[in-house]
Amino acid sequence: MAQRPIKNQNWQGRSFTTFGPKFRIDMANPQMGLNGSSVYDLYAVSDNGDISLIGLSEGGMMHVYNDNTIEIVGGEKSETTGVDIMITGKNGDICITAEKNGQVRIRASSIVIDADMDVTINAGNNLKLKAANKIDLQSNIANCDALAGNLAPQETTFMNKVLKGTYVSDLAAGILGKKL
Amino acid sequence: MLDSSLVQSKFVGRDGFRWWIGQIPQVSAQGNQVNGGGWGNRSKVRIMGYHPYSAVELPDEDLPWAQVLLPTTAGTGAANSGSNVKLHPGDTVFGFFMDGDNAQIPVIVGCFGRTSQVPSTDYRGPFIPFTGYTDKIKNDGSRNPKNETNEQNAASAKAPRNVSTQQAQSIGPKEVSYFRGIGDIVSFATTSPSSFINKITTEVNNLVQKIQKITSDIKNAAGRVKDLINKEIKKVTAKIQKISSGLVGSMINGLYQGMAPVLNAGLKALYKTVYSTVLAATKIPAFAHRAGVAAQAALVKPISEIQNLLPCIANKILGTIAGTIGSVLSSVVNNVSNFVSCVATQFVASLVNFVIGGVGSQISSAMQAVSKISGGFSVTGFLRGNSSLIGGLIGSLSCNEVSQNNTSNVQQWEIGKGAKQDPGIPIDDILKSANEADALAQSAITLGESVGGLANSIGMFGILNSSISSPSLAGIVGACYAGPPVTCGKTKINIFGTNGSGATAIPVFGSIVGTVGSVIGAIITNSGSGYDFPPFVEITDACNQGYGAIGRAMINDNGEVTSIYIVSEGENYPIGSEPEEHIVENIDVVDPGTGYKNTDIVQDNIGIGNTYIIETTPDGKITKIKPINILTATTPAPATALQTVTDLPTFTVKSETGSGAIIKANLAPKPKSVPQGQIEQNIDCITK
Repeated sequence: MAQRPIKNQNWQGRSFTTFGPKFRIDMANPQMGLNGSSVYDLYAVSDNGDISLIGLSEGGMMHVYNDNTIEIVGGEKSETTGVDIMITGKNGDICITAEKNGQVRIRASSIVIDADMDVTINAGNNLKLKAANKIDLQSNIANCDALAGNLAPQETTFMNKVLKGTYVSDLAAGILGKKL
Repeated sequence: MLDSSLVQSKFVGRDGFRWWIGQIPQVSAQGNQVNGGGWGNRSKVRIMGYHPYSAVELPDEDLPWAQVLLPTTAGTGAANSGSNVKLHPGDTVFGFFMDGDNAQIPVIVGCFGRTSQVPSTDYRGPFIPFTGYTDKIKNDGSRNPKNETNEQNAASAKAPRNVSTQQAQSIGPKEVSYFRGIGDIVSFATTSPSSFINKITTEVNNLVQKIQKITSDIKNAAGRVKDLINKEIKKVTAKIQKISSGLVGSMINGLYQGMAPVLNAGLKALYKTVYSTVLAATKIPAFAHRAGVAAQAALVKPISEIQNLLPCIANKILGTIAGTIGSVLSSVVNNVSNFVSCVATQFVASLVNFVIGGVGSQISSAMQAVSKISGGFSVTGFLRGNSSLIGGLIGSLSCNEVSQNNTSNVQQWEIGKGAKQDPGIPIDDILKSANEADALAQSAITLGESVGGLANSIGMFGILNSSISSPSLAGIVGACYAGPPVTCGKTKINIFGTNGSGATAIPVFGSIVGTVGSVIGAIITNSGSGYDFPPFVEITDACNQGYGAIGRAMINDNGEVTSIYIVSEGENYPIGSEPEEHIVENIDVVDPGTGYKNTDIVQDNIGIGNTYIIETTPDGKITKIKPINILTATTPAPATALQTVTDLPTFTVKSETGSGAIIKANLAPKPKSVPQGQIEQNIDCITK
């Protein structure tokens, strides 16, 4: 492990103010990090050893790290129809990931998902859509492909695929006493 | 005798002015001043030459209070403007007496900064330097490096840095990572049907990293450390159990899709067999037909039973998979010190084997009931023979659907660093690994060997054995070696995303120290094609020891990568073999800025500096930068002396009107010899 020669590290530009062991402001610290050296860091440590950091690195990435909860609340005094929190990605994606066993939870009086192109919902296990009143599906084309279930079209169910073209395909429902 | 007080003016300075140097005593002498009940800005002070060196002769508590003068920029507290005094016990302070020679009213005007030569030890006696930390101002240095100097040097006020815990530890003893999550990989939501495999491998990778942050000696972990490890394994087990539902669902769906035509054909064949048998016996086609139909009808319920199993198989397997996941994770944590791709492959393969075993046992009795028509269909054989089943439900696109291939956007992210190239999903390798491990276990069992409960249910994988980290495996082609890397090889540049492919580049090293260095440039070896936007650039090495190198790609109108410029050179990247020499070949204008004139010049930091001229648009945007003297302004020299770049080239535009231009060097290998003709092109415009 070797750092770059100190002549290539700009210590002349570094400026810092430390407010005891719990909070520091560091500016243009040339020590190298994963996204380049630091442009600025606001760094705090709690008695419990929990970290909070806001900073910018020379690679252009702004970091907001916190060992525990980050609370963002807006709009206590805003008008009811106003925008309380605005998050915008100007060019790229906005990625929200709940790691480990957390959920991504969204609650509102109404929720709008407005995609210019496709909406894809992947569920590793079950996908549940529940509406207390009704569910409308509107599209030029609507398909369902399932091996079983009461929405599955006849031709896609496992039973129908197995029985297709046999002499019992029309008798099976009667034998079983239910729709295939 | 006249009382001297009668002749004093009582004005500061008129009755003598005495400077002094003193020391702030230990905090116990400050009483309520430091406990929230203080008055003003003041501190006890022991003054050299006025107060004894003995705390017995003059206890700290009996020292005079000294007022502290503040700089005008600090604010006095008026109108909410102020900042507090930051003097600490042991500080050496400088001041004067308000009352001149009476020396009873000291005032502190400044303090001497501490240096590394000032001992940072507990209090021992008056005027002996000691630490400013107290019982109420503590720092163990684990999250913020302990520091008691504010010198103008690189070691002073050491800050935590944006590297992983392991990297910080390997940089030096006082290095601290500023967030424990740095270096963790995040798999983003994706439209990929096989994303669950990436999610699983990411979880296992992060677990290995996290455990190594907790301890480097996992085998001997005990007590609280052992508890922490188990807690992490438990969390990741629960997570992978959930993610595995995608794998289980995918395999079951594929099985049913594959099984349906087999049973269908079997059912038709059964009719024919029965029909022909009965017809041969009775010679009555109607009897034969009814018998054939009856034979088929007899299997409707058994076939229905197979369909009825559909919603249950996945849940039953998922309900029992956690124990296996936990056991395999424990083995990985114990046996793997370097999370290489084959470890990920084996881990997923072990789950595949569990699922195959689970599906096989869940469905076996139902399959027995349709054995007449299954034609010897083997559930496990089918699952073991179709790698596409692992890859997920890949539906065909309809004509109005745009393909969202996963080369377009970022799939993975390394916290602290940024976009990471998706390693891809080696589905064939996963199934191959699963089959090989299963075959090994079956072979051992056949020979009467004991393979252990876990290997018995999922197969014999290298990750279940500590020998996977044995150095004897390193270098063996095809072997999965998960120990510390024997060699880091050479730093790599990955170019990915934005729908393109094929671009490759090699790094140029500078600031070399031994076998490592910074990345000061990149040479494009293949421009690739199809890039809609500048692709992502990831600079990485096999040992994950380099950090901080950031490159950005530039593309042309044809979607080809034309260059990569370095935003941050990083450090500690393995350089591989002996590095070549490089020169600045041309200069990329990343941002043309505004307000520049054609008479402005650019200077670089190479050697003693080279000068370049610029071309601009009428509104002052830089369009081109050309060298005018490749060496120096005053010392024209043969072009064969093109200067070798050893550090990251930087440029300064000398302009009184322009601003905002960002220009970066494009490096190339230094030519072995330069044709004479090129010398004539290097016209020194400055000295003429």
